[in-house]
This record gives sequence, C-alpha cells and structure tokens, in this order.
Amino acid sequence: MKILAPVDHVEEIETLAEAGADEFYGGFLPAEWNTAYADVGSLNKRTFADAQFSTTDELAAGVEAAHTLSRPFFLTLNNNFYSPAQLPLVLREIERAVQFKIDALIVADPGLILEIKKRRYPIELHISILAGVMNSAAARFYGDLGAARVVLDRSLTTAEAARIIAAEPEMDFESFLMYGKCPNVEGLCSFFHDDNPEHIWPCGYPCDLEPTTEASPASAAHAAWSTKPRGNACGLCGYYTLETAGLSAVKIAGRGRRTEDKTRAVRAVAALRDVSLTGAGPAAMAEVARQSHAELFNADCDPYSCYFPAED
Amino acid sequence: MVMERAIYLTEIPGEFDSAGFSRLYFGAEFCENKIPGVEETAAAILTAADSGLDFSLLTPYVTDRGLTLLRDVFVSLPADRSIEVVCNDYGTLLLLRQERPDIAPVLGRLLSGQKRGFGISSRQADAGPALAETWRASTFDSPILRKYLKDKGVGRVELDNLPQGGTSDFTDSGLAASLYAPFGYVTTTRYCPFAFQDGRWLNIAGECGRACRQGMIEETGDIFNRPVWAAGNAQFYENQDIPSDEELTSQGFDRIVFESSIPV
Repeated sequence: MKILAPVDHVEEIETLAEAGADEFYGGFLPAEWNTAYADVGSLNKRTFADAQFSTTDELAAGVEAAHTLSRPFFLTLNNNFYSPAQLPLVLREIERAVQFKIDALIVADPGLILEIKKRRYPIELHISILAGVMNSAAARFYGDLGAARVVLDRSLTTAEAARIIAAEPEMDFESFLMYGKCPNVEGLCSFFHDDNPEHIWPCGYPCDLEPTTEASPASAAHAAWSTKPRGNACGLCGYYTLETAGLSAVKIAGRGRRTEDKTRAVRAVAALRDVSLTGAGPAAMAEVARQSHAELFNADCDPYSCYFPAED
Repeated sequence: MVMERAIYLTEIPGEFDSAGFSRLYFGAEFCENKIPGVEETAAAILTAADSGLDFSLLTPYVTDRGLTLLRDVFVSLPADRSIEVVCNDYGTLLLLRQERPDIAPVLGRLLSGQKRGFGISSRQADAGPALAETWRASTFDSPILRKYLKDKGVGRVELDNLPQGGTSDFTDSGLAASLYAPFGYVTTTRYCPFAFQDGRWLNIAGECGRACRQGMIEETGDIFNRPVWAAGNAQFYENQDIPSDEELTSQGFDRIVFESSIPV
C-alpha cells in the first residue's frame, strides 16, 4: 500500500519522502479567490494559510519537487459544491493544475466532476472523503463519472471497506489512517470550517454545546468527543486488514500540521509496512500497531481517537 | 402552482390527522438501522392510501449492509406512479434505478450541500457578498448537475429551510423542489451517542435496537441563537420562519415537507 502524505510547503517534501511517503497532496488558495471569499470561504475545506501553498510559484515548485522524487502530487479541490459564480475561478485553477502537470484532483462536488468530464481535462480524479462514499454502489456512481480513486469515509470499519474494495475491483481506494478523526460524516456535515480562534473549531462544535436536558449516558457519550485528543487519531491496527483487502493507499490527515508531526505519522505507517513485507500475520501486525501508537502518542488506545473502534 | 403539503413521520401511529396533507413521508434519513422492513413499509403505504395520501419512502446514507436492506424494500414496493423514493446517497440512487426504474427517485436534503451551522450567524454580517451568497446556495444550483439528474430520471430535489435564507431557484429548471420544515439537519455521525456501550458504538454493527428513539439531547447553540438537538445520530435546528407559498413558488418550490417532530 502506498502512503499519501499532506504537504503545505516545498521544504517538507523531501523529508516526508525519506520517511516513506509515496504520494503527496496539498491545497492552494489563489489571490483572486481569497479576495472574493477570504480564507473562511476556502476552496479546499482548510481555512487557514498554514494549510495552503502560499503562492503559485511555490505550488509549482512543490509539484516539481515531488516529480523529481518520482512521486505524484494531488491537488485538493474538495468543497461539497462550488456555486455557478465560483465555477470559473475553480476551472481556472484546474487549468493551472493541468499546466503544472499535477497528477490528480481530489474532488467532491458532482457538478464540478461533470464539468471536468465535459472538458476532458487530462488529469485523474480522486473522490474526496467529502463525497461521503460508504458503499460500493456510491463508489460505482463516481467511477461512472470518471473517478479513478475513491477516498472511503472515515467511519467505515475495515470489514465494510473490504466489502467495497472487493465489489469494485476496477477502482482504486484510499483510507485515512492517521490524525484528525472527525466524529461526523464529513461528506454530510454542513459546518463550514472556520479557524478563527474566537470560534470553536467546528468539528468540535456538536459536542461542545451545553446540554440542557438531564445528564444521561447518551449525553456523556456525546460530550466526550470534545475532551478526547481526536487530532491524534490512529488507525494503525487496521493496516493489515486494509492491505489484505487490496486498499491502494493509506492517507495521513494533517494539512496545516507541523512537518515533524506528519513525518512521525508517515514513519509509523512505513514501519508497519516494513513488518508486513516480512510476512507477519494479523496478530503480530496488531501488536506492532499498538506499540507504535503508544510510542507516538504516549497514550493508550481510546475509542474516541481510534479509527476502528467497532473492531477487536 | 399549488403548494403540495406532505407530513413526515418516522413511525406510523394507529391514527393520525392527515387533514391538509396530500403525501406521507415515511422512513429514515440518517441511519440504516432505521430502514423500515418490507412489512413495515407495506403497512405505511397502506396507511397512506387509507388516508388518501401519496407516499414517499425516505432512505438514509448506507453501507453495503444498508444497500442489501434497501434492495429488499425497493423490490417489494408496489408499481404505483404516486410512490417516490427519497435518496440521500448516490449509491442508493444507482440501486433504485437498477432495481426499480419505474419508481421516481428524489434527491434528499442530505445531498444538498447547504451550509448550516456554526459561525455563519456570527460571520454573515462581515462576510463579503460573494461569500454570503455561497452560504445561501446549494449543490443543486449547478446547471450541468441538474441536467445530469434529469437524465437519470430524478425529477425532484429537496432542501432545508436555512436560517440565513436560501437562494436556490428551480424555476424553469425541469426539477421540482421540496423544502423541509420546521427542522433542519446540521450534521450526522455514525458514532451514535445513544448506542455507545463498553467502548463500542453498537449501531455500526446494527445491534443498537433503535435505542435513539428513547430520547434526545437538547443543547444551547449558536445557530442564530436557536437550540440544537442531538436526536439519534443527527443534530437539528428549528426554524419556524417558513417562507410563504408565494415566496417558495417564486423559487420553483412546489412542496413543503412538514416534520411533525424532530425526525429521530
């Protein structure tokens, strides 16, 4: 399985490649877009500058750096939808991506996908987690629209993911494995991401509200999301099943995080891959995964930060 | 244009007041464990017919397990042109077209992409006009998507009644449109708080026994200073500021779906 790592600036590409990253993805907010929509109206679901390549030149340099290392670069354009007014600006970015020889676009808006298909841009389409694909028929729907790869929803169990992969053998699939586990179904969540420090990070919002009904096990389970370190979410224990199922790539979340954090996550997954190459079975792999989790986060596994809490 | 009024129920009571309504919405939008079975669906269709109502089956986003459940229900639906299926998952749309091309698919509000929730209320005043406009738009505004949906047999799309107002206009689009009221959904999760037990979410394995129907969590919120309810595996706001029939008609809406309670 390939390891897909987030990048926000050209300097971190070589470091992440040395750690074991095989593919890269990132975002970019052009000045014209920022003037009209500001960072909170981002075209790639990240609303802060640290999670974006800062200039066109730097984006081009990032793509070139990845290609120099024989690794592909994917551009994230994954809003749930772009309005008719936004579409010309988005298409301009796609034309720029084609010009820079970006290898794939990570997209979620069915309208945008149809526009891309109509124009026959020579670029691969990967369906973002923002499309909320949870079943094999939905994957086929996007495959029929020309998608080559689908990012599966984070809340799927490894068994559910395996069923989808088996049902659609012509498609490539990708799953998040490290960091940033949102409790909500991202493709169906209507919060917009707003990183203003005066505001609560929106993924935390549903659980940071004050219950006004009597406390109950349900309200406690609901509220617990806001007290757990979800930013350090981990799915290493699912690696064996996902690899056996034929998953094409595991994805590290974390656009906007420190290079050091990204590198640690890539190294952890790469180390697990090395163990897998020795022919280790599921029990041995799970043990390595648990040790790796403990070393990375200095914490025990926890259902709120585990990618696969429904499994043994 | 006459505004059609539909009543939304998640469970069919022995008796209910259907006065003023011409259609029954029944089923589940948010959880595959609440997909009604074949017999339950047949009973709901019968109840609707007895009350002189047309019938719309609501379906949720699903895993492959849910697709299997839905396939059985779809196959069992009677051939009746007044029956619709509301799809909140593009996989479900594909399944319906494959199994029952004779039944009209509707695209539900979970696929509308509308922006609801945190920050919009506080940011709207200082957002530029372009951004504010985006917060009132929807996925269904795309002309190329509208054409695609029509080609796939979709004749209707559905949206929530946004606190910040909606600008989607379906006049002369070839698509009919419905508005849900008074409750809008904010988000949904598979980590259902009502199904959490011993470190596991039982609903993921289909073992929750629909525990969510035992209650809900009300929370103080910031969605235009409205409370928010966590009901089952989804969260909702209430918006009693429902546009008039004339306003809705001017934007191409021809149906209001009234939720008799928060749809859990």
